[in-house]
Amino acid sequence: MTRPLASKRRSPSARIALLCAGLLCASAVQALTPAELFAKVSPSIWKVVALDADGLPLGQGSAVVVGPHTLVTNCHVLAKAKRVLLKRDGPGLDARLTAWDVQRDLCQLSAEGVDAPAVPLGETARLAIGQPAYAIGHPRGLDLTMSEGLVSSFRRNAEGQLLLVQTSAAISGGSSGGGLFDEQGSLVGLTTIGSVAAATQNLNFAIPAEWIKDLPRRHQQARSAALAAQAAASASASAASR
Amino acid sequence: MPHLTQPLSPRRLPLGIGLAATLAMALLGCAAPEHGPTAGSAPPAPTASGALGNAAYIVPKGSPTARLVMRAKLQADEQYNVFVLDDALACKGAKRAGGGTPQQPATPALLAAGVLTTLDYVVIKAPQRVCLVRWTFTPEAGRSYLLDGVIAPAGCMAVLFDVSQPDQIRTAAGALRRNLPGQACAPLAQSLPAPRSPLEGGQSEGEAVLNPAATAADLEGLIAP
Repeated sequence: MTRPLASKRRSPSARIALLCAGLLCASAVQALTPAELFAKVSPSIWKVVALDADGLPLGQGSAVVVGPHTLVTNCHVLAKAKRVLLKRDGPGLDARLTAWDVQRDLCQLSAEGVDAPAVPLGETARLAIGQPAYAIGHPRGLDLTMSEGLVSSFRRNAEGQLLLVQTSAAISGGSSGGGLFDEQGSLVGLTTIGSVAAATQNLNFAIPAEWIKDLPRRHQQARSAALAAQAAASASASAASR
Repeated sequence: MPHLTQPLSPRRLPLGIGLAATLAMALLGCAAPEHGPTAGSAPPAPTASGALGNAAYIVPKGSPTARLVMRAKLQADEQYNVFVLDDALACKGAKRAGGGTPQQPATPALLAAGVLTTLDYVVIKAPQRVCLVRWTFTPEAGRSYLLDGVIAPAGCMAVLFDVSQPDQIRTAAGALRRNLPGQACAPLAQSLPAPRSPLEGGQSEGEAVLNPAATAADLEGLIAP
């Protein structure tokens, strides 16, 4: 009597082993191969070309579709530009700057012609150091380049708040504003900073995806403050001229 | 100095087109080209000994203090001096806080804490070529600062760091560079903040940000009225 029962019962360690196996299995089901991941998200990665007043290029970077006709990139990609083009295969599409958070180096562009699907936003709180990470962007103008690495670390400010996801996935000039994805294809950051010194390797950084969700609120706050300051300055100037 | 300022040399990564960005990057942190002693925007002419004046800087009695360490990467024919200015806003009245040569490193000095302070970092290169970097900040009591400089072909460079935690060296909070091209003593509002590592980050209204001092000025060409 006891033996059959015993055979059905599993020791705690066996249960844990089974649970772990189940988790690994679930994880394996969800994880995409790099090729699958690229096929899934790359239609949503665009090249950004910043142009000066004469229509000449100032620089270029990358951008990720995060909503209908809406992309995000790094503000430093757009610095001093008078016009911005978004490019994939065909001719460039004119984009409008619709929100900005320069303190976080995060800018939002809108272009009617961009009909690529939005990528899902991931949660950096769920990332673990050592898990795979994939960067996709347009480094050195090389369209849609994918690189593989790890989540290497998390960089925080003096108050302990997350600033950057550190990754060993390779990025280069032109990667700015590109996507850093976890193995499910969720966007966990925008590749923003790389270490370019000869003495360092694979030290690259992405601003966290959560900042994208904060962008409308922070933009509105900053905009309201700037407009209020402008109005106050103009009222003070007009009072002084009387 | 580079090993202190930017151990990782992190850079934002747009793909620059043209020379301007490259040159700007190369000159990042360069504060002032070398000037002959008669140049208009140059600092006050040094004496033969390289000092701007004989008076030594002394912390007012009873004042809380911060420590100032001075370093420089010098060639054999160079020396440097660091001065505290009596009038931090108008950049007048130099008092020597310390200095060194390749053979004799500077002795750390004490600064009065809690008061706006302007420091002049002056390099003398035989036969009396002068390079000046001028920083204004408010030292905090009990903290340690490092004024670290180097002569480069394109000019001289000196940056003020907060080294209170040696494993977390940061640019000194609130430090502003006062001597700019064409301005030997720029008003505080026009002065430049210290170059900082983008990995340092900060806070704005309680939220994490990469650069608390960033403005939307560079986006003006794209912001619809």
